[in-house]
Amino acid sequence: MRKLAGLSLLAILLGLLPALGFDYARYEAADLDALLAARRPRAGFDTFPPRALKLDVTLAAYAEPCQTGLLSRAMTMVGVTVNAQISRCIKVRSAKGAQQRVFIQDLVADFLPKEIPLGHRLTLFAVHLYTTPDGPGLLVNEFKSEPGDDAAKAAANGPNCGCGSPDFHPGVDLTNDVAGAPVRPAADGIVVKVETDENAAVAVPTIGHCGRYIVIKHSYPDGRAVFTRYAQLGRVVGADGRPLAAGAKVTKADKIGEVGSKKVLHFEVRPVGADGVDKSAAWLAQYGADPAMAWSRYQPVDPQTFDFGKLGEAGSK
Amino acid sequence: MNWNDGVAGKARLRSLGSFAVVVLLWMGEAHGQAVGEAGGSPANSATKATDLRGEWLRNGPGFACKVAAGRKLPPELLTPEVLARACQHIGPFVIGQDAKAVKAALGEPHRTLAGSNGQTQWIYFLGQRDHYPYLVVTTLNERIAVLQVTGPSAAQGYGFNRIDLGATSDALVAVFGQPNHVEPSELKDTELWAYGVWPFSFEVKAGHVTSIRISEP
Repeated sequence: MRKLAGLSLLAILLGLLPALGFDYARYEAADLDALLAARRPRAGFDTFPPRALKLDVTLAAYAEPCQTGLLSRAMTMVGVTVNAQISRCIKVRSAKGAQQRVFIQDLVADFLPKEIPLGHRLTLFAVHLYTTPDGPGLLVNEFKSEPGDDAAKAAANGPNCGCGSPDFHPGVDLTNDVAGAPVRPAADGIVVKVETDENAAVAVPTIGHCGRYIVIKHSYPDGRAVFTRYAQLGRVVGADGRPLAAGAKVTKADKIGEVGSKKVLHFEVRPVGADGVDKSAAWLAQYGADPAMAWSRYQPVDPQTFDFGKLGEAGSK
Repeated sequence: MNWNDGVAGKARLRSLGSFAVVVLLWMGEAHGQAVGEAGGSPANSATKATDLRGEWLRNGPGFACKVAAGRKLPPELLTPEVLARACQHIGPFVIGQDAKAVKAALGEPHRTLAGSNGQTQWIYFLGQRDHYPYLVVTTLNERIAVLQVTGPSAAQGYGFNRIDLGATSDALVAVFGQPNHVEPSELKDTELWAYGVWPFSFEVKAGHVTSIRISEP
């Protein structure tokens, strides 16, 4: 782990800060199914005095970018201002199984993967701002896990980076108090994978939802090789600010990306040929034909005990 | 989580609910132009329903029709329906008025279209023939049911409630508040702004009012 010294990382995990000052009481208990069944306009959108609603739902998908033009306009029209960035939506399911996309404050969205596993129930504190033929326009300002949801509680105490699950965290999390701080590789190597989509779909659980990431392959004269992955990055760029691409050679002194807004770097090590090669049908179906994803076939080991020195890093090629 | 406190107060506002005309009868001053039943000559005897003039005022989520009357009104005029119509004027015409008044004032329509459910639409070009602005008078049972004036700029004398064609959307919002419903109009790049159950709507293009439509309250 000494190779990560250049990261200026603090080995203090960020705590999950409680939402201070949020007035939950102003949100009126409501039923999403009833809301979905309410009258909708045939075209355009209806606005009305905004209603603050408390909705019990199931989380179907984490936040992904969505169009917020109508939301912004409706907020202006009904006189609501929220001093926070809103650029994403999550998908939730009602008690009757209807799926609905709802807007969410970006700041709040960042907490969701840390606290609520997909498929688990949660309570949304949202404002109903408008209705279109597609349904209600809801903006989520806060959420809570459902009381008694042990898995959610475990998730809350699980990986700080959002990678993996409460039962599986394929690496180690390192924190930095400055988003944008440079990230450097553990050793010299070749970039084999650059994932720039923060919300890229992941079909195999051992890969995890890890945001933007880069994978480097380190090869040694004795034929051994190891993949290292750096996840939850902000920008995936080199020292010159240009995006890195697969095939690029990097040294351990090179910048390969920047710490993201979560201020957490997820780091993992996957030695080639180690026990536990993923031969599952799911992996083969999803990634078997993609050489850039070959790294994900190998099981991660504990980066804190893995010794790069034994691989003869000076001879990496 | 950075929640704006202002929303809570708004959330407690009641919804529009069913249409209920709130009428403010203003006895303090005589109102301006009165409209006669046949042709717009001032009434000089008993006040008639079509003589009344009022103005829509935003009242929370809804509207109130403020009617100015210079004299004590007879009981038959003091009904919500009659008083609400006092706010439904475009130019010299008022919703519910005898349709003959239109022909008396403007002559025979430039075009006539047969509408549905026994309605007839009379089209009057208010300036140059076949050009904007134009007025569409929809009649039903020989009464004015709908008035709509359309054009990119003001048609002299055919405004509605302090809003003329060509007014900015900001001016519209200043008088009527934000609409309760917005949808694309049949016209390109044009939006229809509606106010729930209230009997008026506007078309807005590039930030300007291009059409005003009023109907039976």
